[in-house]
Formats: sequence, structure tokens, C-alpha cells
Amino acid sequence: MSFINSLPWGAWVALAAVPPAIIALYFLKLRRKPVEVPSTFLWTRTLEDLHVNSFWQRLRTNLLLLLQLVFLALLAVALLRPGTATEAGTLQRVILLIDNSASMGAEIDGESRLAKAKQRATEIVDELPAGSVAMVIAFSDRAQVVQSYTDHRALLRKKIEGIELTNRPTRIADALQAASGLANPPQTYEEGNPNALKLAEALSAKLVLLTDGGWQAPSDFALGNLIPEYVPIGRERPASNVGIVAFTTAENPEQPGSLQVFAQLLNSGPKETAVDLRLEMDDRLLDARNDFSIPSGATRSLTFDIATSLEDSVVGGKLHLEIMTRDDFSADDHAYAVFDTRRQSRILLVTPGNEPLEIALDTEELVQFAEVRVEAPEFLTTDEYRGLAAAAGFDLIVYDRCQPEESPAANTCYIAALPPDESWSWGETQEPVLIVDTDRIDPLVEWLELSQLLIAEGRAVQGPPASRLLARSADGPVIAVGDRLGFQDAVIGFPIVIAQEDDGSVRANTDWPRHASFPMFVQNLVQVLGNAARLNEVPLSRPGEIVELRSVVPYPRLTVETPSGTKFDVDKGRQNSYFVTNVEEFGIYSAKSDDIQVQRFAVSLCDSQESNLVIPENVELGYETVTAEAGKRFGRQEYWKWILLAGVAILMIEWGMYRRRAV
Amino acid sequence: MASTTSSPLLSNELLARLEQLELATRKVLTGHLQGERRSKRKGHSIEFADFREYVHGDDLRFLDWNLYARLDRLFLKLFLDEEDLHFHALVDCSRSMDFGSPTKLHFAKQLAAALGVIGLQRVDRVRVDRLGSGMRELAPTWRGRSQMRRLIDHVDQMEMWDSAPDLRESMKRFLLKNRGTGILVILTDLMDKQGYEAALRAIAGRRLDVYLIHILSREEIEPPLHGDLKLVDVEDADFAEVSISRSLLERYRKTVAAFLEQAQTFCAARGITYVRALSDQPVDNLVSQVLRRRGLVK
Repeated sequence: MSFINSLPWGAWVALAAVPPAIIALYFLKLRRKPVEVPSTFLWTRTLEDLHVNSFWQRLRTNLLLLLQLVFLALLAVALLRPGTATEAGTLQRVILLIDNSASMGAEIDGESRLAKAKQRATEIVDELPAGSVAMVIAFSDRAQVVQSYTDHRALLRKKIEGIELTNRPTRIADALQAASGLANPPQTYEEGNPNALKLAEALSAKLVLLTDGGWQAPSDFALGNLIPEYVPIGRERPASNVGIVAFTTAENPEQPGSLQVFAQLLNSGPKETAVDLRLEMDDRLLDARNDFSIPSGATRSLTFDIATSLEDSVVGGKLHLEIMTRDDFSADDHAYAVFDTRRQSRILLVTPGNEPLEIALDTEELVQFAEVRVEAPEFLTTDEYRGLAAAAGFDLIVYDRCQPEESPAANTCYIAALPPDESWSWGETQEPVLIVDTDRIDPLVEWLELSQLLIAEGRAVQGPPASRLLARSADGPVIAVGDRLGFQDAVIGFPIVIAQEDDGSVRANTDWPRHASFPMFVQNLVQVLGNAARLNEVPLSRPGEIVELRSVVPYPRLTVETPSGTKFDVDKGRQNSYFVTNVEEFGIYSAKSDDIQVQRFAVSLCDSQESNLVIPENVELGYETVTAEAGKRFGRQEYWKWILLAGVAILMIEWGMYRRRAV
Repeated sequence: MASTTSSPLLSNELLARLEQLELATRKVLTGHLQGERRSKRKGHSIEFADFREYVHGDDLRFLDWNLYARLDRLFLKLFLDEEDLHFHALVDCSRSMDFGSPTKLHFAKQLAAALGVIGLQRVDRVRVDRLGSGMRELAPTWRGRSQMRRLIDHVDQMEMWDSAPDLRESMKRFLLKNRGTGILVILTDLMDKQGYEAALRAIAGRRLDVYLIHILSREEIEPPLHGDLKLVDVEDADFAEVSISRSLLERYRKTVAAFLEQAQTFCAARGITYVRALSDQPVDNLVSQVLRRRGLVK
């Protein structure tokens, strides 16, 4: 039997003052009924021998007072929370990992999974043996240490109660890392060094996972001194749920200029379910599907063809897909998307003369969505250029055999030249250049066959770290793409023309312009780096992600309005980028500057792991399979409820006796 | 607790039954007037009692001449004397007697009247007084059947004391007025905080045949009380705070038993006949059975 002190000392002192107060009040305020008797002679004689120790005699003979004192004693014992430790009761350290990801919002019998998890966590805290410490970590896609190690149970309960549901997906890695921080402290380690220093004492702890699954522990995570226990939440009954796990828009390839909307639905419920769907654009019903049936555990895709011509919709639209059929989890019944119809892509070609390239940029196809301006290298020294380059006046600037003083706020393509950044450098000169390998996946050179090109001379290109090699010769990369603060620089290591005479004749360095791959490459360049597309699909964001917004005009700050109408300001970062961090709500966000809409973005759950409400039987944690142990008594069996019940019974008896006597 | 009784003090049936009885005394008492009573003292009645040898100075009228002739010795013939008897009844009229159902006082009055009536029937001298009466409140002495109604009315009209003198003082007053012999019946509940011992001790030395009728109500023996009470004494407004419990009641019962036992022992040691009575007991029953057994009536 052990006790847990659930009151601060001050409260105990106050409680200790109650019994003397009861006794004092009892004797001071006892309501005695006056009764006439022939003589008090015999009574006083009777009481005479009681007077020797009358105080205790009165106490002894007064059952009411005794019952009141017994009740108080029981109350005090109940407040001490007596209990017996069970087999796990000897553990001194517990880390509670409480999942507050979106899927924990699924409701079981009107109560969310998170509420159940919090309830269970509170029970675990209550069951802990005296002197134990516990730590609370809430995790979704990131971990938050809600309460570090403490033995203050009231504080732990309060903190657990304060954990709120998020709309975020589940990533457990951070939480595990935080938990393992104390249990497995890092140590300086050197093979064979006996003086390897331990930075902190390793403290073994019980790791209690209160989760509904839907995550995968990182494969390199080692439990070390952590003893895992998996408490599955929401296993009372299988949850029924059909959720939208993907929602995108794209231009219909068969009917250029029209829009297609793709959605993918997952049914994680135990039986085949038919749902009704409704698609809205700008709050107007666009399309609907009834009785869209999905087998249990399967995903099914569907496509909406939007008849609206993209040319007609000037500013784009907001799409909202909703599953009208109710189920246990509502967060994934809505998905949002935004698409913008693009203005024309603005491309600057700076060249001393490059007829093949100019021709390739002037095709009928490209002219539809790209506006190309050709300037001589001298243009780079003008103020006009500097202004446009700094204010992102171009989507793509092609520097043919010339180099700007500094990188512009635009995507770039350098032909036989290097970006001014020091991270780029030339390799060896090659004569001729034989392309032996081409990247088949990168959208710039996808499907292009470059190995048959004849290239008289060129140089290998050394890009910054993590730059992508698109084409490689035997001596090194000749086409590479590197990232630069949100922009991309493509560098081609060989010139296309060496010189162009005034009469228009060209001294070519390569026969590439004669191959079909050249205009295709140029078109890719314009589309990929020049952002040229009729439909600008804004990528879907998820709650908790950082959304990067770009503006052509360098507004000092943007006002972001959330779907619920809350507004907050975002300051301009480098190169007209704005980072929106507190994205939590589902829906369409809009970023404005003085009522001018700059950009919109959509936030939806669209996460098949979150939509899958099936509770796994066991979870994998650091090479170890942890089986669910629901309902297991964690630490101790408590008796305070029974004691309190006995106290109430005594109080009722006391009241009954009082009533009887008062008659 | 007090109850008034509208019925006559003594019913006709009771009066009829009382006619059969007479007062008795174990002591030789000298009355002043001849009564209808055979005295223990040998005297002048026609009823023969005994012989004794003549001594000088005896009345020669009572010599048995026949025996003298036969035996040649002088014997005196002794006859039982017939004499009247002094009967005193003292009724405790303190407020404590006004309890019980019927009240102890009513019972005491009934008993006093009944005994007085018996005395009057045998031409005894009867006086019934309140315990504690002084010279001025002294009741008259009655003699003869004709006084029976007046006696009953007098007893019936005896009033309660507002503040009664204590037992000892009352007894002192009585003894100052009555120096003679006779039967003294004291009807009281003995509830005197000063104690009854001094009073009884004073009376025990006299040539009185003393009967103490100790009257208690049933409520005093088995008090119907419960709860937290403030018991107020009706006589002196003294109070006792009690929380009635089973153990306290048990203790009280023991105290009562000890009190009764003590009184009985005290009386027995001093030649006082102690009779215990409950106020709800029938008076005729007490008179015809209990008191006959104890020798007060025959």
C-alpha cells in the first residue's frame, strides 16, 4: 500500500484545522432541546462520575460527532490516494507520447480519439507509484514537449488536458528523438578509448505511445534504454471513413485549354461504402457524383472534366471537393485546390547574336504563352536591366555567351557562360564534346536524345553542391542545373553559335539546332524555367507546412487571410519571397497587398495515412515490434473512490441520525 | 407531564372498600381519648389480656378474687385497653411531585385521603398536612366519620408550594408542632438536593410509627428521552445538559436503582417502614395489599 499526496501542504494544514473546529462547534453550538424534569437530582448524580473525564465521555457517547470525525478521516485518507502498486508500478520514469495529429480527431461514440488518449494518459499519470516522474510529448508532424519530467501530477494532468488537436499529419521521428534524448544521452565515443566521456547518466524510461498509428518510425531509431508500450487509441470499434487522399487540377491534354480535376478516395472502413461527392468552383456547384462506391481498404480515383475554357477564366478559381456522406472522420471529407491562369511568361534573351535560338523562341507554340525580348549584352549595363532584374521583371533570362554582374531575381540559362556566383566553375576544355549520358527524368531534357550531337568544343561545368547533371560528356557534365534561393540556374557548357556575322551567316559550334531535340529543349526551358503554362497549378499545401509565396512586385509585406477570416502579415524575404508558417486550417488562403490579390494557396489534409483509421495491432519501433497492451493497469490500483463512497455512506447515516434525534 | 384529574379524589368503591380496614401500629402508643382501638397497653376494656402478680399500688379493682380464693395469692387481671390513635400524613407538595401520569401529587393525595378515611372510621385523630407547613398553615385535626368529607376536601384542595422548604426544615417544623406519638405517613419522592437523610434521622428518634411512601412516576424510572437535551429542574431551574445515549440511560437506571436501594436501607436501619409506589399504581391495591402486608392497615 502506498499513498500519493494530492494536496499541497497548505491545504493539509487547513484540513487538519477542520476536526478541532468540528469539535469546538459541536460543543459551542450544540442545539439542546430544553425539557422539564421533576428534578435534575438523579441526572446530576448520573453525570457526576462522568464529569471525571467528561470531555472524552461526551465524545465517546456522541455518535454524531464521531461519525463526522470518521467522515473527515476518510476524506483525508481518500485525498492521500491509497493504492497498491501492480507489476509495472516500480518504474520511476514515464514518457507519454500523445498523438494529436489530424486522424486523432476521428470520433468514436461522440468522443474524439484525442479525448480518449488524454483520458488514458491522465489515468496512467494517476496510476503512477509515488515518486515517479513523467514527461508529456504531443506529436503530429513535429514534436512538442508539453511538459518535461515532473512528479507534479496536477501539473501533468493540466498539461495533458491542454493538448489540442491539430490538422497535421503524423511524423513520429521528432517525438522519438525528444523522448530518447534523456534515456539515451549522447556520449563522446572513440574506438578503444577508455576515456570516452559520458555526457549524462542514461536514465531508462517507459515510453508510452498513445496513438492511432498512421506513422512509421525512422528505420535508424534505436530504443536504447526506452521500454516501449503501445496503447492503441480507438480500437473500441472499427471506424468507418472515406477520405480524399489526393486532389489535383491539370490542363486536359486532350482538350488544351480545358481543366481536369483529379481526386483519389480511400475507404479505410470495414465494408464497401458508397459516397456522394460535390465539387464546387468559387462556391458554385460545378459537378456532383452520387453513390460513388469504394471497396473496403481500397482507393478509387475519379476525374471531373471542367468544360470551362481556361481562356475564359481570367483569374483562376477555387475548387472545393466535398464528400457529402458523413463518417467518423470529417477532416478528410473536404479538399481544396486553387488554379491560376497565367499571364504570358516574360523571357529575356541577352545575346550578341544567336539566330537558331531566336528562331526556336519564336515558334507558334511558344508565342502563345511567352513574350520574348532579345537584347545585346550591352543591355546588361543599363539601369533598365538592373531594375527589371532586381524586381523579377522576367521569368527567365537567357545569357548567351555573356555574364551579368550579379544574379537576377529570375530563373536563368547560361550558354557558354557561368553565373556570377562563385559556386560555379569551369572544368576542362573538350574538343569535341561527346555527350554520353542524359538525364531521362528531369523535365528540361526529358525524352531528348542528345548523344548524337556534334559539338566542336565546350567545357565541363562544375555546379554548386546538389546541382543536377542533365547531360554528361566523357570528361564531365556539360549541362547542369543548380538551385539559387528559390531560382534555378541552367548552364550549358558549350556555345551554340560562335559568331554571327552581320550578314546573318552563322558560325556554328554544334549541329544541335538541326536536331529535333533543340526546339524541344527550348520549349522545355521556357515552360519549366520560364514558368510558361496556360494553367498555373498551385501546389497543394498541408497543415503545418511552410508555404513559400512569390510576388513579381516586391511588396514589403503581404496580408494573408485564412479560410476562417483571420489575417496576419508576412514580411518580404529575400528575392520577393514570403514564407507563411502558421498554416493550420483547411481551405483557401489568400495573400493580398492593399486589396491586390497576389497569390492564393489551398490547404487540405490529403494524406492517406491520416485517412486510414485502421488501428495497427502492433507498431515497429527501432527494430522492435511493440504489441498493443490496451486496458492493462499501468501502475497502481487505487482505492480512493471506495473510501470516498464509504465516507458518503457515513455522512448519510450521520444525517439520518441527526434527523431522527432532532424530531 | 403534569396532568390534572377531574375525577373525585376517592371513588365510592374505594371508600366502601376502605371501610373494612383500620390503621395499625406496631408501637404502643398512648392516645388521649378512648377510641375504638385495642391498645397494646393493658387497660380498661372488657377484653382479657393476661394476669400478673399484684404489686403495691395497683388498682384493687382489677384483682382476681377467684384466684386469690383458690391460690391465696394476689393476681391482677389485665384487660386490653381501647384507645384512639394519632394519624399524621404529610404530603410532599413540591413542584417535583407534579409529574407523572397521573401526577405523583395526585397519587399522594389519594393515598393520604384513603388512609385518613380509614383513621376516621375508627375514631382516630387524623391530620393530613402539606410537608413543610408552618404553624399558620396547620391543618385541623379530624376525628369521627362525620369529618370524612371535610378531610377529603381538605386533601383535595392542598396546593403546590411555589418554593417548598427542604425536607429537613419541613420535618423540623412538623416535630415542633407534634410532640406526641402516633402514626406518621410521609408521602414524598425524596427528590431533595440537600438529601433526605437528616430529615429522616430527626424523625426516627421519636415515638412515632413512621411510614415512608416513596412515590415515583414511571417517567422517572424509564425516562422517554432522546437526543441532545437541556434538562431543566422545575423546582430551582437548575439544568443538566445531557446527550442521551443508551449507555447514559443505563447509567441513569442504575442511579435510580441505587437511590431507591439507599433510601430503603436507610429507612430500614432507622425503623422507618419504607414503601415504594408508582404514581400510576391503583391506590386501593396499594392500601389493601401492600400496606396491609407492611402492617399499616389491617
